[in-house]
Amino acid sequence: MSNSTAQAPTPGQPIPMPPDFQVMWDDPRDSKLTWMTIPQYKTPISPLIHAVVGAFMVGGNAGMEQSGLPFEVRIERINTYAYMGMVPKEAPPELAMKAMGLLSRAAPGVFKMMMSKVGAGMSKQQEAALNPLIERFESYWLDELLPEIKQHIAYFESCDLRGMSLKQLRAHLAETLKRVERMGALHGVLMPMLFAMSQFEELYCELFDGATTLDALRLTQGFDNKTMEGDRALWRLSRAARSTPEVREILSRHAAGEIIPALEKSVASRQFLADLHKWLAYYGQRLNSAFALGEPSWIEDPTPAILNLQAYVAMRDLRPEMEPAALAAEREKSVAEARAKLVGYPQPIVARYETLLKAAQIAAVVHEDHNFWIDQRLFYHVRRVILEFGGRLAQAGALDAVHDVFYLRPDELQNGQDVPVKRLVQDRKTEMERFSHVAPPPMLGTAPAFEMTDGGSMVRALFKGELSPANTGSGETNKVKGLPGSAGVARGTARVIHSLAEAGKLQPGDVLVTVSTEPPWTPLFATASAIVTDSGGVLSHSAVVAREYRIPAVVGTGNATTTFQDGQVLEVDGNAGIVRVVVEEQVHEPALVG
Amino acid sequence: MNLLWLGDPKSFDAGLVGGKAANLSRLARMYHRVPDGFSLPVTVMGEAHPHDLQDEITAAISDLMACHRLDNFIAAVRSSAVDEDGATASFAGQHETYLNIAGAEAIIQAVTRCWESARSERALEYRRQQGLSVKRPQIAVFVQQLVVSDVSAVAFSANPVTRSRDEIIINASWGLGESIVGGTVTPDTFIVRKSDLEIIQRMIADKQHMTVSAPHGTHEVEVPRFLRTETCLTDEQVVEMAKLALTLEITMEHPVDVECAYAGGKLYLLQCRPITTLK
Repeated sequence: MSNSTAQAPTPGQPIPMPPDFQVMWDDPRDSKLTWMTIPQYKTPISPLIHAVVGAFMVGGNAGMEQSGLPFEVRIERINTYAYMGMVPKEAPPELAMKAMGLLSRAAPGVFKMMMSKVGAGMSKQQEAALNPLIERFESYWLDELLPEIKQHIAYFESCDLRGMSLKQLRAHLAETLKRVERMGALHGVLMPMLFAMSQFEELYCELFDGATTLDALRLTQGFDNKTMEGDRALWRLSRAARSTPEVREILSRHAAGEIIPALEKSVASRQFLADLHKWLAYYGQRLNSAFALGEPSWIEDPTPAILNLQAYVAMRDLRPEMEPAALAAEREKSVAEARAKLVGYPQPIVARYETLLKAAQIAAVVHEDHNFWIDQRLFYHVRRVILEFGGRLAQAGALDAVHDVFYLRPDELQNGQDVPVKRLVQDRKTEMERFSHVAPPPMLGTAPAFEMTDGGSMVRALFKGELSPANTGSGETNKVKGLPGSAGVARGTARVIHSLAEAGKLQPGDVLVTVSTEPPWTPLFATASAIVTDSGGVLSHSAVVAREYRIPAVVGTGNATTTFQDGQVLEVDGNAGIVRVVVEEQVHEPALVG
Repeated sequence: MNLLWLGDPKSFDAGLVGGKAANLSRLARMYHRVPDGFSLPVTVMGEAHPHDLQDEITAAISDLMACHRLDNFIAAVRSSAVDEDGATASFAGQHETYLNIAGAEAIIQAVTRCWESARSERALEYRRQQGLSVKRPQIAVFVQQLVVSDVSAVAFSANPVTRSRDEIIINASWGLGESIVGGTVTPDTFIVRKSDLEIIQRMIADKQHMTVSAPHGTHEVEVPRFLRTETCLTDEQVVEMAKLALTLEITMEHPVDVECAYAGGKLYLLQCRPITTLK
C-alpha cells in the first residue's frame, strides 16, 4: 500500500485529508493532535479488537508515567483504521504546538537550542525515574512483575469458559478487559528494558573507541529466553522427525494442512505426534501477531508450526554459531575484554558500566520473555473469551456466525439482548469492507510542530526499539539503506512476507523481507539467512532475535518490502545497514532434502 | 638486605634513595596513607646487577601484596640520579619513569632497564661532560604501588592566586592526576575556609577528559557524558582533603601543595611540596 500523494505537511498546521478519508472527530480537540498509523495494522481493525488494544494501551500509560515521559498514548479507530496519538500531559496541546511551530519557523537556531535544553532536562527526569528500576532490574522483573503476570495467565487458564452462564460470561468479559489493562501496565517493563539496553549501548560506545552498537549488544546475547527455548524445542522435534523415516516422509510429502491427519494414521508416528501436541499445548498459545485476535492461535491451527517443522526437516544441521554455548562463549569473551580495559578507570564509571551491563543482559531476556507471557499468552486467552462469547451468541441465533462477535463493542456485548446486533454487524462489515480499499494517510490531525529527535534518553531508547522513525527510502530500485540490526553479510533469495500465512515460501537460505517481524515468527529465523525490515530499530524484536540467531539483519529501511521482489538475490550487509540486489531473478530450486 | 622499605628511617636520606622516595618516606612515617613501595638505593644499584636482586624483589612484592591484600601488584618504577651531595640531577638516562607495571617479572624488567639506561653510552658521555664519575652511575630506583585513582586532586593550603592563607583550594578531576597537572581538563574547584573547614565555594566543571591507566602506561580518554558535570568529590571528601593539607602545612611549617587521590574510597597522599610562590 504505497502513498504516492504523501507530502510533508506544514508543521503545526492541519494535515489535509484525502477526499476518501474525511474524518469526523468525536472530540474536536483530537484534531489538534498528531495521529499516526501503526505499521502492524495495515488493514481495518474491528471494534472489539480496538477495545482490547485500547484497554491494553491505557494500561501501558502507567509505564510512560513511571518513565518520566511527558505524554500518553491513545489508540483511536479512525475510519476503521487504528491510529496512535501521543497526548502531551503538561500543556494544552494546541497552545504548546502553536508556540513551538511559530518559534521553529521564526528562529530555527533558537528553537534548536531550546529543544536541546528541553531534551537534556527530560533526560534528567527520565533517568531519575528509571535508574532506580535499572539498578534492581532483575528482581524488579523476576520478583515484582513476572509473578503477577503469571497469576493473570493462571487465572485465565483456570476459567472454565464452557461452564459459565451467559451472565457470568458477560461479567468475565469485563474482568478480562480489566486484566488486559493491568497487563498493559505490566507490559510497561518495556520502558526500563529499552532504557537499560539503550543506556548500556551508549555508554559502551562512549567508553571504547570505534565500538559500534552491535559490538555493545554482543555482550547481552546468548542468555536463554522463552523465544529461543520454544524455537529450540521445535528444532529438536525436527531432529526426531528426521530419525523416524515415516514421520520424515509425511513431513516432506504432504502439504502443511494435511500433516496432522497423515500422522494420526501412521502408527510409527505416534510418539512424534504426541510430542508435537505437547509442544503446541505449551508454545502454541500464540496468535500470529499480538493483536491478531481475529486469526486462529497455533493451537487452533498449527499450520505455522508445521511449516517451520517442514523447513527444519530439510536442514541437516543447525548452524553451529546458533548453539547456545557458542553464543555464550562469544559473549563472555567480549565481557572479559571490556572489563580488562576498564581496570584502570575511575570507580563510578566501572560501577555504572557494571550496573548497565547487568541490566541490559536481563533486558535482553525480558525483551523476549515479556512477549511470551503477555503479547502471546494473554491475547491467546482473550481470543478464547471472545470466541466463547461469539459461539454462545451464534448458538442463540443473535449472530449469524461466531466471528461476527468481533464487530461489536464490549458495551454492546455486555448490555445484551436489546441491541439489534445483526444490523450493527452488517453495517460495520460494510464500512470495513469499504475502507479496506482506501489507503489510510500515514498522519492525521495536526502536523507535529517539531521533530522529536531528542526528547531525552528514554525517547532515544524508544526510537531504537519499534518506534524507530521509518527511513523514507532513497528511491533507488535495487538498493535500500537501513540501520545495522545484526552483524554479518549474507546472500540469499528474497522472500517478501507480509503475514505468517505466506511463511511457507521461505526456504532454507532465503532472505526474509518484511514490515517487521512479530514474536511468533521467530522459528523462521533458523531457516532464513538474513532479515530485512521496513520498520524498527536496533532494539526492535527483529534485530534482537536476529542477533540471537547470529544472522545479519538490516532494520528500519522504510521501503524494503516495496523495493524488493520475490526471487531477487540480495546481499544483506548487517554491519553497514545496506541491502542490494546482486542477481535480478533466480529460479528457485526445490529444497534439497539432505 | 639490599632494598629499603618506604618509611624506613634509612630512606629519609635523599642521597641514598633520591628526593621523591625520601620525601614520601618521611610522609609515610607520619602515618599518612602513602602508596607503599621500596627503594633500591644507590649503593645497591651501583654494585649489583638487577638479575642478582630478582629473588629479593619478588619476595618484596609478595610481602606488599599480602600486607595490602592485593590480587596483583601494579607499580610505578622510577629511577633518579643522585649525586654525592644529595642533589638530584636530571639528565638523559638517569631519570626514567615506567608507569602501570604489573607483577614481579615486569617490575624486575623495568628495574633492569633503569640500570641499563644509566650505563648507556649517551648517559656516560653526559656524565663525562659534567665531570662526574662514569665508573659508578649514581642512581636509585623507587618501586611504588600505582593506585588506580578514581579522583585525583591537588590541594593548596593557601590560595596561590589571592595569596590568602585563610583558605584551602582543592582542584579535583576524574582518573589519574596527569590531566589536572597537564592542564588538559578544567577541574572542579572547592574553596574551604581554614578556620572552621566550611566549604565556601564549589565550582563543578564540565570535565571532558581524564587519564586512565592502560597496559604499559596511561592514556587520556573522554569522560563519559553521564559523569562530566557530576561533582567528583563529596563534601565529606573535600573536608577530609582539606584536613590533610592543613596537617601537612602544620608539620612542614609552610603552606603546602599536596597531590592526593581517592582510590577505592580511601584518600592517598601522593606528593607534598612547599608552595614557593607565596611571600
